[in-house]
Amino acid sequence: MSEGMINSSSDSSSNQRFLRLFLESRSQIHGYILFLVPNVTDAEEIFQETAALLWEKFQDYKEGTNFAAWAKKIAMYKTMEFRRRQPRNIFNFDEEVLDKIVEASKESLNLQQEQRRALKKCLNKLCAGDRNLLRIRYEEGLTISRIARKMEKSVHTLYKKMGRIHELLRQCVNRSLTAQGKFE
Amino acid sequence: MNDASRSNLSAMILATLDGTIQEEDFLRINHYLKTDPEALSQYIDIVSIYFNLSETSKISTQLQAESLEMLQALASYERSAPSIEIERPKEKAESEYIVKLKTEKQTRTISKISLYTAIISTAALIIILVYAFTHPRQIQPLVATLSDSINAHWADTSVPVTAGSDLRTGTRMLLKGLIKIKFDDGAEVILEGPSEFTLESSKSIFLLSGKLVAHVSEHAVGFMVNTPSSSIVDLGTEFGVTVEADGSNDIHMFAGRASLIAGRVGDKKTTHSLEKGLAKYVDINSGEVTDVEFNNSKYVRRLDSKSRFIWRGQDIDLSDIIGGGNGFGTGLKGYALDPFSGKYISFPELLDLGYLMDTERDCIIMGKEQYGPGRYQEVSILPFIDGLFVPDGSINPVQISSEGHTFQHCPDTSNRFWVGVLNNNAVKDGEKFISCHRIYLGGERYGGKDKPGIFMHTNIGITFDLNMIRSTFPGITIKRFKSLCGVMDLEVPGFPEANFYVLVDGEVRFEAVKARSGDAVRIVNVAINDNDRFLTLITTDADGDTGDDHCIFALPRLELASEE
Repeated sequence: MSEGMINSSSDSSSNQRFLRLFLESRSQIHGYILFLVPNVTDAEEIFQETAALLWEKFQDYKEGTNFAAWAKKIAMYKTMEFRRRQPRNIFNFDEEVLDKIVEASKESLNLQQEQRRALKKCLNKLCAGDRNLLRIRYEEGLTISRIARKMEKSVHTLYKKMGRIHELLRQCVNRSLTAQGKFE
Repeated sequence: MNDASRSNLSAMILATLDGTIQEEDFLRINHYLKTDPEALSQYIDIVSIYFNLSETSKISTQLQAESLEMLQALASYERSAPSIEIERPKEKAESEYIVKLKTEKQTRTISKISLYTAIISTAALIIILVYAFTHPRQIQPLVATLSDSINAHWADTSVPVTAGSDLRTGTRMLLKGLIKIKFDDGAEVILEGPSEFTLESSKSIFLLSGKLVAHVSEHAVGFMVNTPSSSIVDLGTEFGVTVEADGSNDIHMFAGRASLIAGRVGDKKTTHSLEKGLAKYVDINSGEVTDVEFNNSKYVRRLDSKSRFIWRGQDIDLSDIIGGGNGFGTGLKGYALDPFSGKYISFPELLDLGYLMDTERDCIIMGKEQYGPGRYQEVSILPFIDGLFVPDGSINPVQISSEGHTFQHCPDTSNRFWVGVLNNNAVKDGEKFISCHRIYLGGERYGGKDKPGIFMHTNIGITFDLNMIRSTFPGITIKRFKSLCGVMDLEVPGFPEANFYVLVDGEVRFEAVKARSGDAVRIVNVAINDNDRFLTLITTDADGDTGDDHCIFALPRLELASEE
């Protein structure tokens, strides 16, 4: 990466193109990585490395082609590199499972905007207690173990409760997308 | 799959995303995704929901005001950086180039993105944008709770000081006092001021200077204490660390095992195993690790602000308890407990009983034998003492606790006693101490502050309530009762014989029969379990005569350990 250089007008235009394409696809790329490496911290690390490599390799990107698809190939490359760096990590999916996830995630990644809209409506259908729990977890960023301590419940019980709430949201979102004709 | 199974799978997927999943559950998920299309579909949906909920909680776009300020600050730096000449297109005359630029300026809509890219290098912008999305501008994460403190003074007065306050990552300086921190992952740390430390995460702390003790249960194995010269990985243990001004540190292992990784960041590292009862020193400059003397009382290992209890690993002194203390030196010397009343007996009362005193030397020269009350006398004035009695096997049963425990094979005695149970060797009379005897055992003098003892002229017994002690000092367990015992070395010739007994809940755990003055000192070492309630010490005459039976339990103590 070249730093500290003042851009010429042509570089500036390229920068703008990259930024626009990257920002449009950022959510898909990050979400894709999270499917493959279902650990938030690891996924963030891979995403940062992917972003850097995307920029470095931008001159290889063919204008007019699907930037997100190109970026996901690089994300997969970075994911496999990450897995190779940790050969003893038992929390890696089998390669057979990875292939299934790649295939199964295609539709979901294309429907991110619709999913978010449906999710917003489904959140309003939850009872206040469940909504509050999600707010504490996601907006305030408290860990499950901390919430469990505050509620004087076990971590296992909290995860079961969160699992139930997420399952309710999942069913609601899927019903909404089916009604819109987005799902088969 | 029914609703319950689906909820359970969702719970496991969430735990995987959080990084808290257990190995066997992750392998189960891997299997489900491989073999069950429904589970695979559920996985995709749950991860999407998790991601979308996380995303919508972050700042929605890089064009928020805060990001703009950050970018402007960086732009300001870049403008002041040395400039680099741009190579102009060779074939254009300077004037034409300038005209073209002016024209572009008039017609072009300047977007914020183009503004940013014009003033900031793209590489730096990429870094900012990626960082902004993976590290949303929220306050630092909560990782621990301040669970207790005694006289804590902080350098930063905005630090929360009340028990129960949540603590975020970051560096703090404790000027003085003691604090106890409970980490979200289960480890507990006590810090003693002055100390400077950084809460790094829910499972690690960096000690820049000062002292701490880490207590890690089996659920929090892997907790790390980092210092400028080393890292200590806890494997289910308790240890103390001191970091000196130059960054060198020592580690003292109180229980369990740990792994020490010595060496500064960037230097070559060496790994060492740490075991209970050992201590090591790490030199910051050389990275050399040497063995040092283990110090069991260097660190505060337990604290409780409600009872003002501070435990540095010391044992409980039973002699201190007889003097009204809590076992850690808060008691007074010169008290005698009377088996008739269960209260202290004063020196004037002893005089009334017929004791003779040498006023010049302030000592008792002749005591008076009395018959025992023939019953167990509970003691209400001292919470850690259950009661007193005069043992005589001919008066059955010999009750030795308020719960009805008895001494089954108590020998027959004369049922007579002298003075009761003394805490050391003197009785208070106002401001004066009237000594009974100079207590020597095995050539060593006992009865002072540094060498406490319980003076128990036959025939007498005293029972301590271990449950009361446990409930008063949370977080510690009683492991053993240890003491020396014997008939005192006499100044005048005599052949007193006495029996010594130690019982736990009525069961004899130690006995020394027909002990004589001048014999080798007996060593008492009785294991105590968490369910044991009453500890009883008894002396009886062994020859039907109590004369000169000056029995002593020297250095009588309860050995403690941290609760697991």
